[in-house]
Amino acid sequence: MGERWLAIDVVVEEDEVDDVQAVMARWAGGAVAVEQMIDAAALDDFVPDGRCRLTAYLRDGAELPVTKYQLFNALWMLGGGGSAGLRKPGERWTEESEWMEQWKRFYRPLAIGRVGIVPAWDESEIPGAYVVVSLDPGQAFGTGLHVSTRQALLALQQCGVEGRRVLDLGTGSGILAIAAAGLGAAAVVGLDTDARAVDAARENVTANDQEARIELGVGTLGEPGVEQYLSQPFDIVVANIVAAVHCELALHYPVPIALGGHLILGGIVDERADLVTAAMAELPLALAERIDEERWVNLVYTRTP
Amino acid sequence: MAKKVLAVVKMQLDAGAATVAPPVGPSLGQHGVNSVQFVKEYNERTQSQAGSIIPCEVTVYADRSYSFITKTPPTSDLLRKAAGVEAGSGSPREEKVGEIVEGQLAEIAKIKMPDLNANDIEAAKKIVAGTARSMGITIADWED
Repeated sequence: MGERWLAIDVVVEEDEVDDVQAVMARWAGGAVAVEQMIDAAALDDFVPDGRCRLTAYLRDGAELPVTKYQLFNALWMLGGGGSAGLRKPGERWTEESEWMEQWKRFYRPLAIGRVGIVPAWDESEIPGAYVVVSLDPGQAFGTGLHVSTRQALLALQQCGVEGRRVLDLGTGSGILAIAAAGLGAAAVVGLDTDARAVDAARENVTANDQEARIELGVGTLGEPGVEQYLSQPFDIVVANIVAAVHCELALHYPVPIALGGHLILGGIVDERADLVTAAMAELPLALAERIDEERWVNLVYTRTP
Repeated sequence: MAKKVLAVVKMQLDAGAATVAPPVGPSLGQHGVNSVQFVKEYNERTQSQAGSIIPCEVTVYADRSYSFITKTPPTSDLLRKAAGVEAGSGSPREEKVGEIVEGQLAEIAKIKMPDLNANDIEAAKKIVAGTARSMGITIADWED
């Protein structure tokens, strides 16, 4: 935590970008971003002014002074026939703790069906009709902003979780598990293969006072060490992961689901949806619904005999 | 109504293996984008090309949502792979670092066609050959 990087900025004309980018990439190990500069006079519109700002990121450490010298030198050589900007690059420090937090300033309460997702640091009043999930996702996936999370959460509500047992695979921030508990699920188990995600989920579960109904663990289906969570069948299994993992887990999916129960698969990019449906084809699972939205696909299956 | 654009950021990332380390974290973070989410999506969309560098162009909107498109791998990356060399030459005129054949040139030109300002494959080959020359990579049995 708390890595520090030196950002080196230069502004050049568009036709110089490729050369400058190649030089920067060489000294910054590929850590280069190119951003179009915009015409400041055009306040309401995005009007590129024909220039670009290139930023190379150099990691802080013993080698930094040498790498920086070499980069500046290489830019200076390029600058001979080009932009003056290459001869005096800008420098600024950027810290991991800062850039990983910046998006939070724009994270606002949002409603997904009957569920209201509220950032942990937000004090907005949420109308009583909503089941509130207070969330600090940290570095874990699951803010509610992503279409795959929204699709999975809507599918959970459509299946009806009240009084049911729910298993959330790839729980991430715990958003789906906490929402399920808030919607009245009898018991929820959330698993993730990433221990840091489980830590983040645990904090969120505590912040939402749902420790009594939500159990969390590290691991996934088919792995030793998770049997304790899977001793009783589940009415709903929700897995908002990615297509490749759905294919790997396919054979394990039907096992924990009660007859007539549901399997919700999310996080599938449209071009890989066929792989997932093919992997499920021979299993005791019937496709009940497929939702396509913004190039993401959500699949709902029903467990058959 | 089209959403208001806040910024357009271009980066060259490892297909299927991008992380939130620079350039992604700071470049997108400064515009209020959640890079954990971006990385998951980029990797998922580029997984089939793992091992290549796949450039992407991210458009950030005023509401901090974003969309992105991916491009073909950089010409220099394709040339380095074809010639089996680690890096281009520091002084391409004097020092040649590798060689490819005309068939490889045509193949790279075909991959790059969508992103090149070329009307046909011959024009694309000329552009790729120019990049090869600037890297100190020669092309056997081919005359510009």
